[in-house]
Amino acid sequence: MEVIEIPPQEIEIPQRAIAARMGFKGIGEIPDHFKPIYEELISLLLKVSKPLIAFDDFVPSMDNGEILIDNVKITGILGKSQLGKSIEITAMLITLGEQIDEEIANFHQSGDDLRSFMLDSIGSEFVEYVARKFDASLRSKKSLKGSARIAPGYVDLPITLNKWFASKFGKAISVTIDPESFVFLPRKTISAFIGWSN
Amino acid sequence: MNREELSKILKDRVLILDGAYGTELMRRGFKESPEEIVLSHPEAIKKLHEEYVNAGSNAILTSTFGASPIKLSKIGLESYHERIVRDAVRIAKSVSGNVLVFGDIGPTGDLPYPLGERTFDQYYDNFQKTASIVIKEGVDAIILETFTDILELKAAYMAVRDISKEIFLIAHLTFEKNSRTLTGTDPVNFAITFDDLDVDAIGINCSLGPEEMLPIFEELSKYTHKFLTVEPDAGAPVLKGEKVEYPVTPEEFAIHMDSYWESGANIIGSCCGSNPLHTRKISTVVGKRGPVDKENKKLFAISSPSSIVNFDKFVVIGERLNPAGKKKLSQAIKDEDINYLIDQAREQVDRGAHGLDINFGVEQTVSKDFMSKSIAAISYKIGSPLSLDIQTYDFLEFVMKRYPGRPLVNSARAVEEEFVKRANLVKKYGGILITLSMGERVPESFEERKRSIEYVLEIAEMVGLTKDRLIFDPIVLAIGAGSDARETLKTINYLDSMGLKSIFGLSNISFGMPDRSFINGAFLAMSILNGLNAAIMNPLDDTVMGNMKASLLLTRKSQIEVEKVQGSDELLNFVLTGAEEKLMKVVDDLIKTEEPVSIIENYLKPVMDKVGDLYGNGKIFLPQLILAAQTAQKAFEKVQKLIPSGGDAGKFVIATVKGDVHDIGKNIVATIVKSAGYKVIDLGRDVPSEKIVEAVERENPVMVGLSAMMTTTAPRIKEVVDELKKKHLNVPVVVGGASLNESLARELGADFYAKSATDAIKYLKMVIKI
Repeated sequence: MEVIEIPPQEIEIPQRAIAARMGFKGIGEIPDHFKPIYEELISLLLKVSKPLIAFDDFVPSMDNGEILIDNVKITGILGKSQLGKSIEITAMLITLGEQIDEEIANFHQSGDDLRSFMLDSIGSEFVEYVARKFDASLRSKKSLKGSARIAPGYVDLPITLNKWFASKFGKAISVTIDPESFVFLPRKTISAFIGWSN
Repeated sequence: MNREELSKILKDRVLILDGAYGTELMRRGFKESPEEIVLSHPEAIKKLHEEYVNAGSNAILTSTFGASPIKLSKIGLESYHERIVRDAVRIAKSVSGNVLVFGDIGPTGDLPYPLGERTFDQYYDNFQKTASIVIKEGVDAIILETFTDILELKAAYMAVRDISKEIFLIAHLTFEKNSRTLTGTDPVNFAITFDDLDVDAIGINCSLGPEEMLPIFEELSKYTHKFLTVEPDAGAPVLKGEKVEYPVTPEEFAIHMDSYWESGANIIGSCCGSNPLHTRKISTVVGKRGPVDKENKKLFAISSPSSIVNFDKFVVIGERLNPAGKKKLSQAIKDEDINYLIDQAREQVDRGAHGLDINFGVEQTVSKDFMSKSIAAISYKIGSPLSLDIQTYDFLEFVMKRYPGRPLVNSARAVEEEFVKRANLVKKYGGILITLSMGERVPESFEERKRSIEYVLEIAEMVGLTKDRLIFDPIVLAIGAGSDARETLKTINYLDSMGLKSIFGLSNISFGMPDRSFINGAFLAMSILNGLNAAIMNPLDDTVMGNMKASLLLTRKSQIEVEKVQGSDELLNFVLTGAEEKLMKVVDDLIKTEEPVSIIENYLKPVMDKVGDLYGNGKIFLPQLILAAQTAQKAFEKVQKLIPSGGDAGKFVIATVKGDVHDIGKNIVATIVKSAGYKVIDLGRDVPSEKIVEAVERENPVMVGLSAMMTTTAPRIKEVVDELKKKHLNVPVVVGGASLNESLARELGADFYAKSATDAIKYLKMVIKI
């Protein structure tokens, strides 16, 4: 397993993506009226987030038509379609750390749900772009063909797989999991697989 | 390579297309167009091809973008047409390496009638001349790119497809920042119009950088079932001294490639201002990926170049462009007076028609060119989609080929030969076919109509025309001639139960009767109740239109018209813009003259109702809703303090269920509910069921709100509901969250499902009234 830290200043996010996450759909940018708050929150995010990535490569095997890595079965149509032909699978856990959660909660406590909501949206998009940056660097290094990056909880890839991600990588980057809902803590944490094939 | 082989490759991997030629050759010091450079410096074109291939392009474009006779005639090179096209393909094919060659065809630069002078047939001949050479020279595909008008693109498509059924064909439109092409087409319209046609891929290129183009591409990708291609510019050009520069660097360009890939792009390249360095970056990011599977939406809709009419809501098709019984219109058609037709069309649209039926009367006396010109003029000038009520097959084909969008085709009977011929036209040229539920003879009963519908569905399947391309006419007959209107109503009801769309010509019902408006209005109301989707009717008849609006309201099929966001309502503007001080000043002034209860009931609540409506109708966005709620909440609190009893509208207990740590959605609902004057008891997130029940016992709320974001935590809702029942706490429960939907909410025992933050208010009001 490897752990890397990406300085938050290195992550570039198109404003359009954050605007869409906040609900400003189809207009491509944050409306002028909200821009000062947006800029204030982006500065805050760059101060409080500490993007960390823990990842490892696994050689999959097949068990009755199902993909197996590290004794864990990856079931479902999405897993099969994206990882089925893989000769290697990268699993990754990515977090922004806990301070951003605290800032989101603080805004709510002080009655400023607009900032709480906007920071939450920015954080969600930011962690996704950390994943993208890491994803792009993996693809530029590997000579194999990469699958789509797929995450537990989407389509039919079981969210229960998050338990495996937490046990495998959680300690290294201080991520835990709620045993009932399989939600990671800190909340701005995501997991994903990429399959590599010839 | 034929289209089947290329399609197979695209199902397996993303292809990288090359970048700009014109702007890059200019940057390298050439002043001529690429087509001239093909003749004067073919080695420069070949070198650039090779650089793109070395950078990772899997496909390169021939330098034939402007090499059509019309375009070349503008720079005096028309006589070199054949040589330029042939040489350009040969240069591209001479590039070594395993690379595909796409024949590039660009627009003429001339707008179609009535916006310009070009006719469909001029476009068609022009493109066919270029297409025939590139196909003969053996390209792997043809790309029609940078088109700014949907009719010109359709002409180019028809020109290519009529030469070869085997060539892989890509069709692109170019959009402005407002998500429309120069002549008004939006990406959804493009998707539905070209989904009907036999192209292999559709896409977008030029005019916008990768960031600006993305939302337009995403919209396109939601509605098309074709492969997708994209080539953004390297930003908008900036004039630096005498040089034009494009600001988006290869690195900046590459940031967006993931998003295009996620939206389903199968072929990704770049357009103006890009160079091989951009291609290298694109290839590094997405060059080794398989395609993303995507689910696409289907719209039951018709279109003109600038508008779409979706049959999910009731559709009014104006009937008045029909010369039967109209002397002035007959004369206008005879005189080929298009302006008269346009006036008649405009009047109907102004009075509420969404689309227009057009009928030319005795077709043998009308020229095909006049028909086609009238249709183009109405489509572009009025913007209304048309129902082509043309009975002569040749005339219908002539007009459908030249229709700038997706029309209704009116109509075919359930008679095999007639239906198959018209169905094939719809398959070839696009559109939705009105199918009469009658065979050779006029039906008397519902059973006869039903048999015709079943028969047509069988033939349609045989022909390969899907149900979503058919709309059925249940046949309205004149009651004055003794027919029974109830048989038509039964047919509408049957069609609705089968999930099939229905449309009829309304005015037939009252033919020969007195008080026609009343009969028409009453019959329309009954038909709407039975599930009618559209009517060809007279929008100038206020009685009928009034009946229609009332019926739609009573059957919950209407849309409430929303007022403009920035209207004259001062309070509304203050809350929407978060102008807290101004709002408080108004409230302070009101306190001097009004009772606190009156301020809440007559000023603050109505404003928040308007805000809720604006959000519900998509006129404002979520952050604006939150800002408005936060702002209004302070005003509510100030006024409520002046009411001895507290003045709140009731208590609302809210919590995110045990195991769920997501609370943003719950917090937003709490803020919105507070802003409507309710007292909110927010228990927080990850709340055990027993704590929620305790709070209900203690607070006696008018309603409980539960949030569950995860499928794993949704069952906790049932736990809370069961516990409340056990303790005989008879309080309604509203639930929301990403994992829920209406039916799941019901299964879990909730009373209401809130799809959005404002729904909670709606249910609270309902509960309080009860």
